[in-house]
Amino acid sequence: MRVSERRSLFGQWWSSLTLDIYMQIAGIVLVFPAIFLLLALLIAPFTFIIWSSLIKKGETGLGLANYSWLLGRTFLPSLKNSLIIGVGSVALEILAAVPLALLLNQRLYGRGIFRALVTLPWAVPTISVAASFLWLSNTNYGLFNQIGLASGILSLPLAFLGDPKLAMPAVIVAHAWKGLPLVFIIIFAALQSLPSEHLEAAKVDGAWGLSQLRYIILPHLKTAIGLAAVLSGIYNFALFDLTFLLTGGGPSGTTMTLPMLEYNQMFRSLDTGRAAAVGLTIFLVGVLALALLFWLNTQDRKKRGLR
Amino acid sequence: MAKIELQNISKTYPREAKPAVQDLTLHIPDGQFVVLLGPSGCGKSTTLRMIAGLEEPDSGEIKIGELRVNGVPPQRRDTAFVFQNYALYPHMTVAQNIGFPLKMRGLSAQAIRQRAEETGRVLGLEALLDRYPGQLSGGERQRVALGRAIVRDPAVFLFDEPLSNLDAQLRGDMRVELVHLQRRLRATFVFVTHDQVEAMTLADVIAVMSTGVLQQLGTPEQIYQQPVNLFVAGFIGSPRMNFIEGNLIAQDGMTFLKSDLLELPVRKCLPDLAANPQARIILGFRPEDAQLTPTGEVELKLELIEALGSQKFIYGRTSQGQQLVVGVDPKSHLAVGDVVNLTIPPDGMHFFDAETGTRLSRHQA
Amino acid sequence: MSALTTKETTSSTVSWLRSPQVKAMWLTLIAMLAILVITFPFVWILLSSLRSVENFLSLDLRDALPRSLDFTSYRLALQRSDLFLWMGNSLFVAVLTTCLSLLVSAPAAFALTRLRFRGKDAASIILVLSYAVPSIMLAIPLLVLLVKMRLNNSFIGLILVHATFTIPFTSWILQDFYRSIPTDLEEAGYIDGASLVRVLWHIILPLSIPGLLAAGAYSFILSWNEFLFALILLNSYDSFTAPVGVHAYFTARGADESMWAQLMAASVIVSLPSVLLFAYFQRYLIAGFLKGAVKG
Repeated sequence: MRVSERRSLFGQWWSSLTLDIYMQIAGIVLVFPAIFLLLALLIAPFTFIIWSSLIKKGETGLGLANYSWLLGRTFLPSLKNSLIIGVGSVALEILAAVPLALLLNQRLYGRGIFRALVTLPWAVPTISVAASFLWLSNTNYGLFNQIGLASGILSLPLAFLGDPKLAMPAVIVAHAWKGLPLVFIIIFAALQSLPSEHLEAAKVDGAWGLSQLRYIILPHLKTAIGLAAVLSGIYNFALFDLTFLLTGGGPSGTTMTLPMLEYNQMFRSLDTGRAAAVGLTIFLVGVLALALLFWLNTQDRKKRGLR
Repeated sequence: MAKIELQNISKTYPREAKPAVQDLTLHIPDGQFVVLLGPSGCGKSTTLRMIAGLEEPDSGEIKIGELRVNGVPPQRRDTAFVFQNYALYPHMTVAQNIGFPLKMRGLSAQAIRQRAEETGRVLGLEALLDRYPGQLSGGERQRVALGRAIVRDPAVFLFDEPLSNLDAQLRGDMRVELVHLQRRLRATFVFVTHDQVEAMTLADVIAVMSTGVLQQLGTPEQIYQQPVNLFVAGFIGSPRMNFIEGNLIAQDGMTFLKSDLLELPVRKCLPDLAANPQARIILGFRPEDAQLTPTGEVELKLELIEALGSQKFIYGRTSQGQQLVVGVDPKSHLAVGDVVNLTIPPDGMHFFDAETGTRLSRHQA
Repeated sequence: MSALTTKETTSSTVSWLRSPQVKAMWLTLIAMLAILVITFPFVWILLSSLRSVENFLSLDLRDALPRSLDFTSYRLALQRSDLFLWMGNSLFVAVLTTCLSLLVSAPAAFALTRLRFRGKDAASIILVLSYAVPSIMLAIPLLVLLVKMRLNNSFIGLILVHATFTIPFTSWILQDFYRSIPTDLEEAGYIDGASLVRVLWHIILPLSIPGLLAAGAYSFILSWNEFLFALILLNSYDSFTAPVGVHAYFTARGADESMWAQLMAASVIVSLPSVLLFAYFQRYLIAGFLKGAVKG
């Protein structure tokens, strides 16, 4: 009875499958839906965008006309603006995130709540972020101007988002606000991974306060800061909606970013080819930045003798 | 019930240079309690996992009973496996945990409950059947894991260091229970541990492993009394066996072991070895085999005394600096700084080739 | 005698001032100020939305804070615009996006953390890369392709597009979650006679419910908040999602008092689902990072 029961356990057709083949089939089957969906939704657009970037508006033949247009006077200022937003907002984020991470890593009351609140901007929809900044910086009724005027700092109200000199800094601040949570979490996580024995040992060796920060903590955070900077920089570089909602690229093109330019080429000028060329440039800049990060990391690891 | 045969098994994990198990051949007879013993990383757990089907060997053949099980997934090998951390399903009650293997075999809910209750009764878990694993103590979890193993009457039982998370008292109790369980079921038990006391008390047969290679297979007595090489000799026994390296020299019809630190008459007859004065050999003797006698050949100055209650060990140095450990009568009055004489009876001497580490003896195990 | 007591009290006052508790209180105070600055933009729309509509554009600073809780702005925003309809659309899109991405990413994440198979590395790379592709670059070709497939201005198209960034994200969170489930449990399942499918169903699925909820919450937030694709792909007033609807409604109107008041209320309403979900599930995201997704 027992023996026959046992036989039947082995008797099925798949008993000839080895564990490795079984895992192979199972792995492919389980991964397939996700990968198929992503590839379908990524490869097709990718092929299409490369192809259409090679076709000049109104023509049918393939050529590099759209790319030579990139060298002209419309594209380069936008590239510069996007780079300024990417770099500027990341600089602000790191300047804010490092001290914040250090502060929230201390013994204090309600640390969990503070941590949650710092990461909150991540969850606020861009439309609400934009509404808030528009309202705060409103020329006539915004809080910034009201306080500035009431305290006598300003003699005339400022149009933060309408002034060619002020629009860019304002847009940078908005991007930094939205991007802070990601940068904060990455840096905070790295800080938590710093073994407390290191700090204890440093204290014994006489490193307190600032020297502890300079020789122990910041070197430990270096990789995380680099990672956060590149990730957040790429994200802000390629971000469309916040600029679109705050300034629409104005005033007089001072905040015209690459994503805005692409959008305008597509929906204002109805020039798919040029829009595609701009889109590919955005992607390539991101890839380059990631490659740079990867390269820097490998160099750093080599230097420290890690594999 | 079934025997297990491993034939020339080798296994190297991906991305690792050294093989975890190397050309292992091991025949485990039906109904035996076999312990795989060795230091961590010696391949004993890998061997167990290959029997269970959780890993596949790169080469070689595994048989459970008469069936070749290479490539057969674990769920069709009819083994039970007790994990080090018990691996109880945290979202199921004790009864559901014990009944899970039966559920997977398609038994009715009523039959499952009935057999889970029976098994619970055997293991003294009646009162806990509706609790969750999170509400149990370590010892209770251990019993549930056992229950899940025995409930379906498998061909072989596999244990991966299941007692290592228990405290000393409980571990002792569980050892006794495991032996009783094995006697009652008359099933094949394969038990992995790094604890030699556990191995000695549980096993019918011990397989000592090191660096993926089977070193010795034998009863606990054989392993202890006739270790086949330096590794087994050094691994089994606590404190460790004393080792003295030197040459054997025949002089005036006597054989001497001559080392830099010691010269020792060897009364054991090893003429073929003594004929070659170049051969380096290692003499080993267990601390508890040496005897203190006023006429002993070796003088030892005591440096440390370890009193364990039922046993007492003295650590000391000869005048030339050879360190030795000796077991003495626990009631003896000795103090650090005392000088004692000791003698090593011929039966207690083990000889090993210094180069290969293998045992040199006419009656090899 | 009395001199001695004074001395003792002074030294105990000094040590009290230097005690860890006092230091923690100071640091807490600083942290509170910092958090106030950081959360200020959001706090400000919340406060403004509760002001009375009549003096919304008052130039007097004293009117900047609400004197009493006035929900008129909310009433106006919900009555005059089609916010309810748009939120319904958003809910539909976000829920279906979340279901779709959990449905495909849960098995994928399991396979990537637990099974050995060829193509695993390639699959992980595709997941990472697809998260790195900027939305704006995909927007144009996706629009053109969806128009060709007649899926533009349909929720199906938008859901598929949202899935391109929710799937990598949910897979990432779930992979992290599966790593926290001991492999012993699955192996015990196999030993007990369960096939892979039954191990997934009886052991992995019940244990991964918290992970699925957290990943689902994030997927919901990402989809709910998304603006660009919804703006480009949806072009009829009735099919707008909440962010696009709010944008369309308020750009079409002049800057009068009730417009600003309504915009503040609408912004709060649109943010609320995301913010509440985030408040509840944020520890999973932070924990994911802390567990060493990023090590120095």
